[in-house]
Amino acid sequence: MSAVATAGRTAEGRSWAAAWYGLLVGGMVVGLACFVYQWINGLAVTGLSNTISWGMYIITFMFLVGISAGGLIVAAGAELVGSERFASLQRLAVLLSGTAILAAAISILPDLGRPQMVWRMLRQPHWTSPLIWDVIIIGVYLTIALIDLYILTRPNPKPGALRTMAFFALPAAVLVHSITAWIFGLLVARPFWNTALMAPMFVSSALVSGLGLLIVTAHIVDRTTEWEPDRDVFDDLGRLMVWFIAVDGFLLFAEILTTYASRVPDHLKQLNVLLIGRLAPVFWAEVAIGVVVPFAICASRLRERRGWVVAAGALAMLGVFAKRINIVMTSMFMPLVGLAPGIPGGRAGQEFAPDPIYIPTWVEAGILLGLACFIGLFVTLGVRYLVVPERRSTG
Amino acid sequence: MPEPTKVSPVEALPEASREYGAIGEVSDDPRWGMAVDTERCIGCWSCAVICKSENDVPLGMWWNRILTRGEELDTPETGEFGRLDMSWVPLACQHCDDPPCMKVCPTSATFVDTEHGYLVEVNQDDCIGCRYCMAACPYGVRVFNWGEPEYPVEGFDLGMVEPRPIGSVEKCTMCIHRLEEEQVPSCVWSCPAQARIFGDLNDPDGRLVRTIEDRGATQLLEEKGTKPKVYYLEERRRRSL
Amino acid sequence: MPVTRRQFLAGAGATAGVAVAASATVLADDVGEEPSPSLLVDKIVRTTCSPNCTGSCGQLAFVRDGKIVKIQQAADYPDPVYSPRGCMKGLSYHLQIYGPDRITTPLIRTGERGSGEFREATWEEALDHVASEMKRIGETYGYDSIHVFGQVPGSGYIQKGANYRASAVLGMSHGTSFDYNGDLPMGMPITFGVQNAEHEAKDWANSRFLLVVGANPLETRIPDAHFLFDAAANGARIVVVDPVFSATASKADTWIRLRPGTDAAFALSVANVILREELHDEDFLRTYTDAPLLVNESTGKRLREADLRPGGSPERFVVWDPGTEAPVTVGIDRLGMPRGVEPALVGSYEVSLASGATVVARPGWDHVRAEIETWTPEAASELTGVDPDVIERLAIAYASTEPAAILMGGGSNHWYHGDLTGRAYALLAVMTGNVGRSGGGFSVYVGQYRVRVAAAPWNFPDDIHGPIVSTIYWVTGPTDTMHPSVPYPKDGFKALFLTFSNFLLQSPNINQVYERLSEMELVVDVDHQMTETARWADVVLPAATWYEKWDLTATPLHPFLQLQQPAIEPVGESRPELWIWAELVRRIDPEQHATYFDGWDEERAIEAILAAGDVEGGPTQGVTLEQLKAGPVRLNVPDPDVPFLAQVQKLAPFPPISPPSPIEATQVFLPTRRIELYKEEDRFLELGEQVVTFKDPHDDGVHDPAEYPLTLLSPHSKWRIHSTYSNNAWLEEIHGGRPQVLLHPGDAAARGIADGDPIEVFNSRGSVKAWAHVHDAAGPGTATLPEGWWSRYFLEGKGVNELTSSAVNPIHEVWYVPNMWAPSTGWKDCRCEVRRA
Ligand SMILES: Nc1nc2c(c(=O)[nH]1)N[C@H]1C(S)=C(S)[C@@H](COP(=O)(O)OP(=O)(O)OC[C@H]3O[C@@H](n4cnc5c(=O)[nH]c(N)nc54)[C@H](O)[C@@H]3O)O[C@H]1N2
Ligand SMILES: Nc1nc2c(c(=O)[nH]1)N[C@H]1C(S)=C(S)[C@@H](COP(=O)(O)OP(=O)(O)OC[C@H]3O[C@@H](n4cnc5c(=O)[nH]c(N)nc54)[C@H](O)[C@@H]3O)O[C@H]1N2
Ligand code: SF4
Ligand code: SF4
Ligand code: SF4
Ligand code: SF4
Ligand code: SF4
Ligand SMILES: [Mo]
Repeated sequence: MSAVATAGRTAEGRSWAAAWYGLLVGGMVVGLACFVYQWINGLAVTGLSNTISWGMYIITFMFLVGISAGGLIVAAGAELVGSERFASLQRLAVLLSGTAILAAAISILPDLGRPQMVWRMLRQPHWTSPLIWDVIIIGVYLTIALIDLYILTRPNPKPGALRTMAFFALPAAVLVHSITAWIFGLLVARPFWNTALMAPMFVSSALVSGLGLLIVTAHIVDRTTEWEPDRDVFDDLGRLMVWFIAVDGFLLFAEILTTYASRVPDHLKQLNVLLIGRLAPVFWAEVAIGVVVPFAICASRLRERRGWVVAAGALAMLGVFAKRINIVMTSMFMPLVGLAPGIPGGRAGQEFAPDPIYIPTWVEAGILLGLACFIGLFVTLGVRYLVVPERRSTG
Repeated sequence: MPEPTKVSPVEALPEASREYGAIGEVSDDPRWGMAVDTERCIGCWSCAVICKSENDVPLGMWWNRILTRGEELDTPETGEFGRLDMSWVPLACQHCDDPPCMKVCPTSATFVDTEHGYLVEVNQDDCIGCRYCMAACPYGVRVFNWGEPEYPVEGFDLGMVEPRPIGSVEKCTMCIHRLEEEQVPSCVWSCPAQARIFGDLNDPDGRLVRTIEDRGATQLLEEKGTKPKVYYLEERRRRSL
Repeated sequence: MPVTRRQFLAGAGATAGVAVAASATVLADDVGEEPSPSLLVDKIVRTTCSPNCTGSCGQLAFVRDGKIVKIQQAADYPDPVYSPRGCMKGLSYHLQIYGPDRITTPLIRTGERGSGEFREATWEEALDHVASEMKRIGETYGYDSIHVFGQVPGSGYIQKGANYRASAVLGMSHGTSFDYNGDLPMGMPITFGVQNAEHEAKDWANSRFLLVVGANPLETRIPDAHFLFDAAANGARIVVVDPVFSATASKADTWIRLRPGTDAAFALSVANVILREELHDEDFLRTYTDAPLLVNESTGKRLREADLRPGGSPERFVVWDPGTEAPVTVGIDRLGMPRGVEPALVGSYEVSLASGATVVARPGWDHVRAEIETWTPEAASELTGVDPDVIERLAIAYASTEPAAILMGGGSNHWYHGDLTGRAYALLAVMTGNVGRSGGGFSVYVGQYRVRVAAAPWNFPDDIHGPIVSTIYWVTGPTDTMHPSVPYPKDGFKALFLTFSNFLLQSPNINQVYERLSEMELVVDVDHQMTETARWADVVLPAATWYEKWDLTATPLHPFLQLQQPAIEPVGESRPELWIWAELVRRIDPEQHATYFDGWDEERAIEAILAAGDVEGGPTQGVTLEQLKAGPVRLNVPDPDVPFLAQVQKLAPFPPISPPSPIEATQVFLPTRRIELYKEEDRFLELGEQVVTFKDPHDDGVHDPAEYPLTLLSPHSKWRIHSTYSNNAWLEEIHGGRPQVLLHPGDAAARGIADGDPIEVFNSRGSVKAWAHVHDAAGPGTATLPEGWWSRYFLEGKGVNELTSSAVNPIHEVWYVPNMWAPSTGWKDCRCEVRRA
C-alpha cells in the first residue's frame, strides 16, 4: 500500500511500486477476464435472478456516482465560497471525482445483458428514461472533472477559471446524484424508492461518502508520498463531515418515519424487511457505522486526532455502501405482486422464487475487483503525475 | 422427396378450430385488452403452459403465471375463525396504457405499438439488457435471458416465434403474431375453464367491454396509475346453506 | 365499423421491427400468401390426448420438420360448451415425447431386476426372446398363467383392444383395470345393476344443486370443471364434502369437512332428515325401486309369486296392496305397479304361502327406513365430525331443490366399503327422485373405463373369450370368498405382460406386488417412458405415443368419439401395440396370426368396430372413419347424455346394458330388475349389508387406530395423470418436484414436525419419506400424499403405495363380471403414522 510512497525513489521503493502496480494490473486482468467470461455466458454467471434483477453492479454504480461527489463539491464549494482551506486538496479531490465517475460509467457495462448494443442508447435515446439523462449528466460531470483537472495542473492556473467552472460543477454534481436517484425514485413499482426524498438523500449520502473517500485517500497519499495537505485540513474535513452526516442521518430518519407513519401496507412491508427482516443486519450496520459512530467521532474532540477522522471517513464510506445495498435490495426483495409462487427464477433448474436470495458470485466479485484496481491504478498514476508534482513544485 | 410446403399455423388449422379462435368483429381502431374471470379460473396453468409452448419461452422463465391468493402455491389462506380461502390470479403483462416499463427504457426497445392495438412490445434487437424495465414494471412480468436460453428439447425450436437472444428482456406479447392473423392469443384459446375473454376495448358493443361493465372488474394495482388493459372479473358471492 | 382482414394486415406491415413478429418467411411469399408473422409449420394433425385421464381432449399437433413443436386443443366440438377442453398436461406432452426418459429402442435386462441395467436390442431379437419365453411358459404352465395387464380401454379401443385380442386368441389371462383401479363404484352394480352410469359433464350446468363428494373436479376434471361455474351462474348452489380443503372446496358455496371414510354415515344422516321432513318421493320409490317388494322376515329373502302359489313364477315379486289388504305380484319386464295399486312401503304384513305357512313380511323400504332412522344427524355427527345443524340444512336444501345432482369421485369410492358409500349416496338420489333426469342423478366420475363402442368383434374375434382374471387376484392369489367363476390359472401366474400402465408404482400394497413379481418367470413392459415398471421389467418394448399411432377413444365425461391420428413418425424404434402383438402372435402361433392379425391395421379395426355399432340404436349408428378423421363425432346417445332415461321415461326394466358385457351377465345383479335398495343374496345377509349401512374403515381392523392414528389419503394430483407427467420439465418448474405430505398443524405439532421437514410415513406394509406440508387445509387426523409421484422424487421409498392395502371385500365377490362386479381397490382405506425422518 505504501508503494506510492517512494515510487521510483529507492530500490526498495521500486520493488514496492512494482508490486503495487502488479497487483493493480493483475486485478484488472482478473476483472477483465471475468467480464469476458460473463459476456460469453451471460449474466447467468451472476447471482442475479428475475426477482433480484439488479445487484452488486448497480449498487457499485450508485456508490461510485456517490463518492464522485465529494471531490468536486469540496473543490468547487471551496472555490465558490472563496475558501482557501481546502485549496491544498483540490487536485486530489478533482482526481478522485473524475476517477470515480469514470469508474461509475464503466460499472454499468457489466450490468448490461448486451453491452455490444449500448450504442443504441445514443442512436435512439428515449428521452423519458432517466437512464439517458444519467448517461448525459455523467458525461458532463466527467468533462467538468477533466477540465478542472486540466486547469489545476497548469503551471499557472488562471485564477478565475476554476471559479467559473465551479458554477457548472456544483449544479452538475447535484444533478448527477439527483438523476441517479431518480433512476430509482421515479419508479411507481418500487414504493421504497418512489419517494421525493430519494434525490436529496442521494446528494447527502454522496457528500458523506465522497468526503469519506477524500479523507481516507488524502491520509494515505500523505503517508506514502511527499505530498502533504494543510495541517488542519483533516480537522476541517471532520467538521464538515459532522454536517454532512447530520443531514444524511436526518433525511434517513425522516424517510423512515414518513414511511412508518404512512401505514401504507406495501411500504410497511418493505420497511419491515429493513428494520427487522432479512436486511436488518445491513441496515443497522449502516446506521451504526455510517451514522452514529462517525458522527460521534467527528462531533467530539476525537476529531482532533487525525486517525479518528480517517477512521470516521472510512466508516462513513462503508456505511453509505451498506445504504446502497439496502436501497437496492429492499425493493428487489419485495415485488409488489408478491403472491406465490412468485417470479420465475429465470434459468433452467431454477424454480419460481417466492423468497429469493441473492448471493453475488465470484464473477461479480472478480469484475468489481477489476474495477477497484482500475480506480486504484488511475488514482495512483494521477497522484504520481498530477498531485505529487504539485506539492513538489509549490512546496 | 421435396420439402413439404410450409404454411402458416393459422392457415393449416382445421376449419372448426380456426373458427373457434377467430377474433371476430372489432372496431376500426382496436385497443386489445383482456378480461380474466377469477370466478372461473381454476388455477390450472394451461394458459401459462401454452404461452411457454407458443412463444418458445425457455426453461426457468414464464411470461404468464398463476398466482395463488393464499399462502403458497395452491394453498389456501387461513382467515378469521379458521375460514379457508383460495383463488387464483393469472398474471402476464398487463399491456398498460401508461406503461412504466416503456417510459424508462433507454433505447425505446420497449414501445407502445400504436399500430397494433396499443400493445406494449419489446424489440429485442434494440434491447441492451439493462433490466430497467424489469425494475419499473410493478407486476414483475418481465423475464430476462440470463444465459444462453435452455429448452426442454434438443435440436429444434418449439413454438411459433423466434427465440430471443441472450441478454435481452422478454415478456407477453399478447401473441401479436397471432393477432395479425385474426386469431385470439394462445392463452385465451387454451383456457379450459373459458375464463379469459380477449377483445377490443374500443368496441363498446364487444363482448369484452360488455362483460367488464356487467360483471364489474378491477385492474391490478390500479392505484399505480399504469392503466392496465387486462381486467379481472370478481368471484361470485357465495350463499350459505 | 369492423375492419376487414386486409385493412388489419395493412397495418401489420409496420411491425417489421418487432422481433417476435419478424419471422415471416420467404416460402409463404412464394406461394403468393400474405407472409405469416408466425413461424410456419408443415401440417397440423388432429388427435386425442389419451393418458389414463378421462379428459379425452382433442388436440392439434403442430408439426415442423417432422417434430411436434406445439400441442394445442382442437377446440372443435360440435357442442361448443365442450371447447376447448384440455389441460396444462396435455399441452406439454411433446416434452414427454422428446424428453430424457423416452424409451427409443427395445431393451433387454442385463443386471438384476430393478437395477436399471439393460442393453439395447433390435426388435427382432427382443420379439424372438419374448415370444419364445411366452411360448415356453404357455406350454409349460398353460397360457392362462400369463397375465396381460393394460389400463382402462376408453383411451384407446384399438391398441388396448389388441391386448384383449391377443389374449383371447392365445388363451392368456387378461387382467382387469376398472376394479383394480378401485374406480369400479360397487354401489352402482349393487343398486342399479350397471357397471357405472354418469351424466355427461355438461349436464352439471343444468343442475340447481350440486353435491360434490370425494371428488376434486377442479384438479381431476380440469376440462369439465367450468360446468360447475356455469351451474352457479344459473343459480345452482355448490356443496363440497371433503376432509381436505380441496381446490374444488375453494369454489364451493359450502365446504363440509368430513372425517374420511365416513361418507355412508354422513349420507344416511342426510337421508334421515329427508325422511323426517317427508321430503322423499314415495311415488318414485314405488315405481322404480324394490322399495315395495316384500321381504320374508324369517329368511331375509324376497317373496316370489312361486312362494304364494304353486306354479307361480320365481321371477315375479310380491307387494302389499293396502287397498285390498292383500299381496299383489309384480313382474320384471316392466317397471311401475299394477294399475290401481299403491303398495305399502312400510309396515309388516302377514302373508300366507303356498306351503300353507304364514310368514311375516315387510316391504324392502321398511328395512331401509329402519336403518335410516338410526342415523340421526347427532348420531352421525359423532362419526363424521359434521355439525348436525349443517346436515339438517344440507338435507333440506338438497331435497327441496330440483334438480339436484350428486357428483361422487374416487375419494369416496376408493374405500373397502366404498360400495356402502355409493349405495348411501345413491339412496339420496333415489329417494328424492333425482334419477334419470337432466340436472339430477348420482354420478360417479372415475376412470376412462367405459366401452362406448361395439368393441367385441375387435377384442374377442369370433366370440373367442379368453380368461379374464381380476388383477387383484394376481396380487393376493385366490381368496376364500372368490367367486367360483373366476378363471384363476391352476398353477398360478408365471408371467406378467404390462402395457399402458405404471403397474409397479400404481398398484396397491406395492411390496406385496413386488413379492409376486419375484415369482414371475417373465416380466415385459410396453411403455414409452422409463418408468419404475420399465426398470423392473425383463424386457422393455418401446411404445409409440398417441401422437405416433392410430386409435379410437371415448370417455364417460363427454359423448364424442375421437381418433388418435399419427402426427409424426414414432420416435426411435417405438411401435404401436397392435404391431407388437401381431409380431408376437406371429412368432408364437402363426396360424392365429394369419387368422386374426395378418392384414389388420388400426384403420381396419376401427372400421370393424364402427360397423358393428352401426345398427339401429347402436352406439356408432351412421358414424364413419372419414367423419372421425375430420373431428369429433357424437355417439348415438341422448342429448344431454343422461343415464336411465329409458327406465324412468319408458319404464324399461333395470339394468340397461353395460357394454361390452351381454345384458345377461349384469341382469343377475338385479333379480327384481328394479333399483335395488335391498339385497337378498346370502353374503349380504351374512354381512348385514342387505340394506345400506355404515361400517368402520377396513384398515381400522388391520392397523390399530391408537398406534396408527392418521388416515393416509392419496388423491390424484393436478400436476400428473397418475404417474404420467411426473417427469415433465415445464410442470416440474411450477410444482417444484417435491412430494409433500399435507398434515394438519395439530397433528404435526404433536409429532414435532414443522412445515418443510423431511418425514417418514409408515405402517406395517411399508414406508416412504417425503416432505411435510403443514397447513389448516388438511383434515385433522389425515395425511395426504397424492398418488403418482415417480419413486425417484422421494427421499426414500417407492411411493405412497408402499402403505396402501390390497384387501378384498367379499361383497365384491358375490358375482364375478370383470370390471363390473369385481373387487374394487380401497386406496384411501389406509392407516399410517408419521415421524420426522
Ligand atoms: N389431474 C388428474 N386428473 C385425473 C387423474 C389424475 O391422476 N390426475 N386421474 C383420473 C382418474 S383415473 C380418476 S379415477 C379420477 C379420480 O379423481 P377424483 O375422483 O377427484 O379422486 P381423488 O383425487 O382420489 O379424490 C378426490 C377428493 O376426495 C377427497 N377424499 C378423500 N377421502 C375422502 C372421503 O373419505 N370422503 C370424501 N367425501 N372425500 C374424500 C380427497 O381429499 C380429494 O380432494 O381422476 C381422473 N382425473
Ligand atoms: N395410492 C393410490 N394409488 C392409486 C390411486 C389412488 O387414488 N391412490 N388411483 C388408482 C387409479 S384410480 C388408477 S386409474 C390407477 C392408474 O394407474 P396407471 O394407469 O398405471 O397409471 P399411469 O401412471 O397413468 O400409467 C400409465 C402408463 O402408461 C404409459 N403410456 C401412455 N401412453 C401409452 C401408450 O400409448 N402405450 C403404452 N404401452 N403405454 C403408454 C405411460 O407412460 C405411463 O407409464 O392408479 C391407481 N393407483
Ligand atoms: S405490465 Fe409491466 S411490462 Fe407490461 S406494460 Fe405494464 S409495466 Fe410494462
Ligand atoms: S432491458 Fe431492454 S427493454 Fe428493458 S429497459 Fe433495458 S433496453 Fe429497454
Ligand atoms: S397473450 Fe400470448 S404471450 Fe401473452 S400470456 Fe397469453 S399466450 Fe402468453
Ligand atoms: S387456463 Fe384459465 S383456468 Fe387455467 S389458470 Fe389460466 S386462466 Fe385460470
Ligand atoms: S391430460 Fe387429460 S385433461 Fe389434460 S389434455 Fe390430456 S386428456 Fe385432457
Ligand atoms: Mo382411475
